[in-house]
Amino acid sequence: MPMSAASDRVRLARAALDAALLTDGVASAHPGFGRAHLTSEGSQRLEGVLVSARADDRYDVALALVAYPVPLHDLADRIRAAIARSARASGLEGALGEISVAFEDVRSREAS
Amino acid sequence: MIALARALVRLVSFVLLLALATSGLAIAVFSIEGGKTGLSAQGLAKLVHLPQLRQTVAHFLHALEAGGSIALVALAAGLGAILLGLVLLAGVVVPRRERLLELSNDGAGRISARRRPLAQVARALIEPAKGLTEASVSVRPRRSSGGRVRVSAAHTRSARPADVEGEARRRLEGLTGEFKLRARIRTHPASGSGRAD
Repeated sequence: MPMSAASDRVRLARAALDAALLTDGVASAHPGFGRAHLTSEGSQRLEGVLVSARADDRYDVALALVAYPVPLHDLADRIRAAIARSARASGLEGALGEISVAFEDVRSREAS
Repeated sequence: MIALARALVRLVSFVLLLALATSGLAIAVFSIEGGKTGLSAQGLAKLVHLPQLRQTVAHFLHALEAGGSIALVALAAGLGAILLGLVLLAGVVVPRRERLLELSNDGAGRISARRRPLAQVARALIEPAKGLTEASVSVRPRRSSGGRVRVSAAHTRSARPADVEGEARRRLEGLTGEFKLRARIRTHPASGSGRAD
């Protein structure tokens, strides 16, 4: 039986997480309080991202991240912009809703 | 205070539920038989000395009706019970202080951070301030949204406190300016600090 293609929700979760992790200032993903920021993709789990469907056929993205000590608002703006670009490149711009970012921890660059 | 009230609510709830469960179990067990002895309801009443308890309570209530010192004790106990009730109500009704501090929430989504990383970022931002030797930062969220950043900054003896505070505040603007955070900065000379400025 052929494997079904990933849903928009999972594709968006992967695109958002990849884009966030590539943003300068983000150290890593974090599972969130109570491991709430997890998206299942078959047997795999994307840690640090939760994508939830809205009533208007779009998806809200919530990220839990570990950041380096940098101004957080600027970092959150850059993460959002990177996710929007990534969603556009994946043909998912119409599916993207709100992007929430939670900084769960901070790590120094020396520790990485 | 609210944390104490919340702990009290948890304790009282636990004790009451335990008492309720124990009473229910006892009543269930003592409903197995009928009559006045053995595992009967009347047997349970005798076992826990309910008739004596009724007499004791009757004496106590009768004494309460009298004036004098006993009435004052009763008044104090009544006021104490009201106060305890208010504390328990506060523990239930007053919202929990968010551990995840909401920094902004516009149409694009929510930006939030935990207290510890926020304090770490604040410390990293102000540490390069000229004349500053050490900074301790704590972040206290408000119950609604936003919060307060408290900074205790030690400076060299040759540095002007106002300059250190001004620069620390300017550096913190990257954090406080965009978010619903208020900075409160206190400066003090570093104890035993050198003059190496």
